[in-house]
Amino acid sequence: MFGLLHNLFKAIKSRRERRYTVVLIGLDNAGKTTVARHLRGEAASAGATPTFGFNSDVLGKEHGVSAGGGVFSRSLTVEMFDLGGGKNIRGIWGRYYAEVHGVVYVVDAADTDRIEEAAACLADSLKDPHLDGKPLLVLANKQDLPSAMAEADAAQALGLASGSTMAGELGERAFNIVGCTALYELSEEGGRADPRLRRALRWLLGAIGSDWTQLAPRVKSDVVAQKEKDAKELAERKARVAKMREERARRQEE
Amino acid sequence: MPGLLSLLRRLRKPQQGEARILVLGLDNAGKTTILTKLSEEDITTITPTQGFNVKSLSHANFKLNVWDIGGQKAIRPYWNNYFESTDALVYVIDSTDQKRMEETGFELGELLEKEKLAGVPLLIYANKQDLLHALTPAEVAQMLNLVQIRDRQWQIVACSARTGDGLTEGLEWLVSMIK
Ligand SMILES: Nc1nc2c(ncn2[C@@H]2O[C@H](COP(=O)(O)OP(=O)(O)OP(=O)(O)O)[C@@H](O)[C@H]2O)c(=O)[nH]1
Ligand SMILES: Nc1nc2c(ncn2[C@@H]2O[C@H](COP(=O)(O)OP(=O)(O)OP(=O)(O)O)[C@@H](O)[C@H]2O)c(=O)[nH]1
Ligand SMILES: [Mg+2]
Ligand SMILES: [Mg+2]
Repeated sequence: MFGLLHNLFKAIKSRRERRYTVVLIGLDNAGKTTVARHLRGEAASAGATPTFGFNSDVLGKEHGVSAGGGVFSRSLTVEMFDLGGGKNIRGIWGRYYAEVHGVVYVVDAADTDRIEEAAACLADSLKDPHLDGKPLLVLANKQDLPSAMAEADAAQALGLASGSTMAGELGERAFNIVGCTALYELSEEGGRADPRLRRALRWLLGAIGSDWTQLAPRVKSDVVAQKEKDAKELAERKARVAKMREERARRQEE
Repeated sequence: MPGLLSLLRRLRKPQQGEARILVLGLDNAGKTTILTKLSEEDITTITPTQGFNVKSLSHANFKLNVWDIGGQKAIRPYWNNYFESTDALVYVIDSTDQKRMEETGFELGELLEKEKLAGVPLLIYANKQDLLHALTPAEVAQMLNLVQIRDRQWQIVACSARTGDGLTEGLEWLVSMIK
């Protein structure tokens, strides 16, 4: 009896603690790092240096992240992977897809010259089976700039609207596109955070939450598979390096 | 290419106090050449490093100490003498040396497991990009398994110590990461 209660308690507790992982992708200069900082409540008016790799941030209650309310309110943390968007680093994105529950694709909505490239890049990413069905939030960033495309135009230009090329790739996933300004000092409300950005994040967390019973086990098993593969590779590599060293030592002795 | 000192002058968020940057990598990767180039000195007379080189730069209230340690195999066991109070790690790769990508990935993996370097931000220089057969940063990132790192921020920057391309981009990020 006690054991049963204990298990029940544990089950409730683990249901209360959730950790979502999301990845921020998009072309270089789109504003991913600025979005990440904004969501952490850091003024990012000074501009960010380009990312050529991996940043990770964890959002919690103090950042206004929550899931559910009342007695069963859960503690939720969100880990964000902010990856470099430059052409010669994009190749690493795919290595993170297995372990994410949702995707944020950031677009510089004012950069009409590169909107086609942004569309192609998004289409490419969505082809990855590891992203199938996972909730997608597109941020049409830099709305403070006069030339910025509004949400609807951005959706059209990115080929996401129904009837266009990518509508199929969207499949059954939860999808939303939101216009926003990630730069603090330029956002509305006199230098405060852009409420659209926070709302957009809430939407994404909500979408992940509703898919959780499917997403969680899938991600878990994909991560285990990836870890096994990595461990195997590492062991093989260690063996190879050891052999290389032995051979070299032997040659030196001769 | 602007040198280290002008980089310190340009910092958006001026740093305070003293910071220590450790530069590691296999022998022949280009560590000493990078540091020499960043100091705007002549790079033609560099020889393999037997012990270490150290450069110290000050600007306003900030002092940056950069330690360049020899990478020959016989010296590598001594790397761990330099881990103490390291604020940032630079790891240099010869992007043309495909044969030794395994070895350098292995050495890096060992470094990242050291307690004294836990959480320390990591900058990878994919050096020698002026040469034809250089791998791209994404390729190097895959081969070195950087994508498995979750416990620290990292960046990989394509650079050439010979021409100076890319050197300050990476360092600017690294200095901004120093707490
Ligand atoms: N006007 C305006 N500029 C922005 C906005 N968001 C970001 N920026 C600027 O756009 C530039 C690029 O922003 P980042 O956040 O570094 O872009 P990123 O997507 O992380 O770029 P990579 O790291 O190179 O992939 C910076 O100069 C930002 O200050 C915005 O909402 N409005
Ligand atoms: N083409 C080319 N050659 C480079 C570059 N950087 C370094 N080299 C050459 O690579 C060789 C090794 O450079 P070092 O700076 O001595 O390498 P190191 O990493 O300090 O080596 P150790 O001191 O032995 O650990 C030298 O012949 C350099 O001229 C580069 O960007 N391009
Ligand atoms: Mg960035
Ligand atoms: Mg040297």
